[in-house]
Amino acid sequence: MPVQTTFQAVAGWPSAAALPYCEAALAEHHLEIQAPAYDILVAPHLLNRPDLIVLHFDTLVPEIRERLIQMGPVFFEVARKLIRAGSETARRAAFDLLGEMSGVESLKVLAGGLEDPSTLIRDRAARHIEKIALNYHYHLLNWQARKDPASREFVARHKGPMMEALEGLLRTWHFHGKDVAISVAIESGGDAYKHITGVVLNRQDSPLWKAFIKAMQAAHSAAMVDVLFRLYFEGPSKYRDVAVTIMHLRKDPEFAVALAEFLWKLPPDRLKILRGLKELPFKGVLEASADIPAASAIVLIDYIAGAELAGKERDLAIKAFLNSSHPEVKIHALKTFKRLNYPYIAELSRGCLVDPSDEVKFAAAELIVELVPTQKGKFLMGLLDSPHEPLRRFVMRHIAHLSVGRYLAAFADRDTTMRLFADQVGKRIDEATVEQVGEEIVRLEPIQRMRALRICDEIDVERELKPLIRQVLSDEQSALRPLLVQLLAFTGNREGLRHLLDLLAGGDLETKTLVIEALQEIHDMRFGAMFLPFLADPDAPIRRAAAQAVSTFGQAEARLILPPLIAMRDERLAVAAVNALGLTKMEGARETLNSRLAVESRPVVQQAIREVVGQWS
Amino acid sequence: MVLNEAAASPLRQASETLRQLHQRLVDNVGSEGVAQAIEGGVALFVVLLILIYLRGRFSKGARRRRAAGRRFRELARANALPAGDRLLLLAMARHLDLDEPGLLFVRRSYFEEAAEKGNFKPERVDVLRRELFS
Repeated sequence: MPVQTTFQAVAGWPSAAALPYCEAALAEHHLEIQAPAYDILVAPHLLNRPDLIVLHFDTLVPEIRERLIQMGPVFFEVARKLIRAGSETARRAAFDLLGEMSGVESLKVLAGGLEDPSTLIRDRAARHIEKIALNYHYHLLNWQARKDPASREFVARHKGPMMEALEGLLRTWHFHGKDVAISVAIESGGDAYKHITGVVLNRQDSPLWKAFIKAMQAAHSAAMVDVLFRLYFEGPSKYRDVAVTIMHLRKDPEFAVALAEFLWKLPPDRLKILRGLKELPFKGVLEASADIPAASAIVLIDYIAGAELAGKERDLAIKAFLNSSHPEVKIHALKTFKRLNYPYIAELSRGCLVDPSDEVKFAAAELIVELVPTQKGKFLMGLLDSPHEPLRRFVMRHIAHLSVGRYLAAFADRDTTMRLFADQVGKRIDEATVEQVGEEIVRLEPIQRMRALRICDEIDVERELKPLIRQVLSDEQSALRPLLVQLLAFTGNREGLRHLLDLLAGGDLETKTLVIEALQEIHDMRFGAMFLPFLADPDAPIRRAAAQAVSTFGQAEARLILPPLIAMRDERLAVAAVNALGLTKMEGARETLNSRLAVESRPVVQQAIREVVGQWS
Repeated sequence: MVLNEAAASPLRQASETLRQLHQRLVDNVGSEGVAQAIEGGVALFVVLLILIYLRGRFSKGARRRRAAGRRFRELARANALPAGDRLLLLAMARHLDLDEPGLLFVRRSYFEEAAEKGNFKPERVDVLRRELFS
């Protein structure tokens, strides 16, 4: 290359002749011209003048600057020497080199440039400081916010030099006015705390003091909160006043997020100290409770619940979170109140039953069921129309409380035969079927649903239940009538079921007709068979009515249930099953009994079969 | 002895020539004093000329110019520039009032400035640009 050839010739000249050529080449913005000049200037056996490269730093092409970085320590040392003893031009070039090529480790030297007699150099030094500090600040935030490992590594590597330089940067703040120095101090949290108290807050109401307050208002990191609480707890009262002022001024959700992050990460011993507070210094932030993200709000609720605040202040603070736009926060607030045994939790829960969120309604309904079980029906009734299926099911379950278990329990204290018959009927019905009955109640129109739920309730049999049953039976259009037997059965209302049989056995013709109509409307024979236990009732008319109901409306079920019972080892139960079959007089029952007689070896059972068959004919 | 005599002979001849010139001048002006004054003035003038020559030959600036010329020639030789290109480069340096014409080998911006404003033949400039900077 011609330029290379030129510099091969130049390299052989005395340095006084060669230097102007090399310097001239460095002024040309062409790599092919600068590169050979650079080589000659840095070579120890040739010109050995790296200072000239520093002097021409501003004209160096990026490729040469890259090469310069490779020899960084050499040039940085030369630059430092030039700063100490060079001309204004040399100092400026040296500051530029350090600012551009070096990093945090040169901040201290650059901070010295802020006190240079030359205005130009002061400006340049400030600009370089700002750039380096901004880069460090970026990594600080990137580490804190995104947990970026590269940023974490950067901060860890440069924290020492940065903290060393930070004091100078803050001391010379009135020269450069770069707020990034304050931001770095704030985001460094406890690491920079002594600089904050020693330099920033050293003179009250100074421009630096005011800039710090402003920066604290704009910051939203856990490190900032760390500084705040250190100011609050440590040092003279003027620092505490600063912390309180800032916390009162902060009413933004970002501050709440920072607070929550700080509290979340706090070691137990420091958290204990914080919980010992008798006041809530950051209560201003509660005004933004509607916009605080859910996770942060939950952390704050937990902190407030555990703090040694006065009960009223604590409750008010937690209550503020019931305005949150996040259902999970409201639910957490409700649960916290319950944990704290808040005296008005039932009222709060009732208030939450009209919340727009179904999840909140659900949680409130759960609390209502637990806290005021006697009035749950009254409060939860409105939720039966909810489009939210789990909520609807929950409410249905808790208002009506339908279950096979309740049917079985209704006969648990009766004689063995009744229990046995109830068990056999119960085995045929699963919980899903019961839930379907609940769903059907939900689908009823409001007046019918009210009646249904009244039937489910523990009401007085004589005074309320019997009139209600008659009322339902007499309403031919009622969608509730086909559900009557199921409701009475699945709420364990034995008296109600028996009353139906009573009406069937002893009522006037019109009443009997109404009962039979109601039984005819039962669409599933399994429900018709729910009268089976009454086949063993001590009252003969009831037994006959039960037999009539079962054989007519639950015949298929009875046919499945009763014959196998005749083969039971227990003779008493086998006889009861024979009698039940006899009572029902179902089609094919005689053949069943005869065929059993042919194989039956027990005399008592044989006798019972003979008697039943004999009565039949 | 023979050598001394041989060396002394031209001196004697020069001395004789000067004496004859002096006599002729005296004869022409008609006064010995005036003739001596004219001869003194001429001698002073000659000494002055010599001094002027010596200053021009050995002054700092002259040495610098010569050194610059030497460096230019050395670079031209190193780059194997033909005589025409050397002259063109020197013309460019003159156009830019460069004391160090060799700088055109490394300062492309100067070269381009001269090429643009110096009214040189573009095709020759192109050739030279390729020879120096490509």
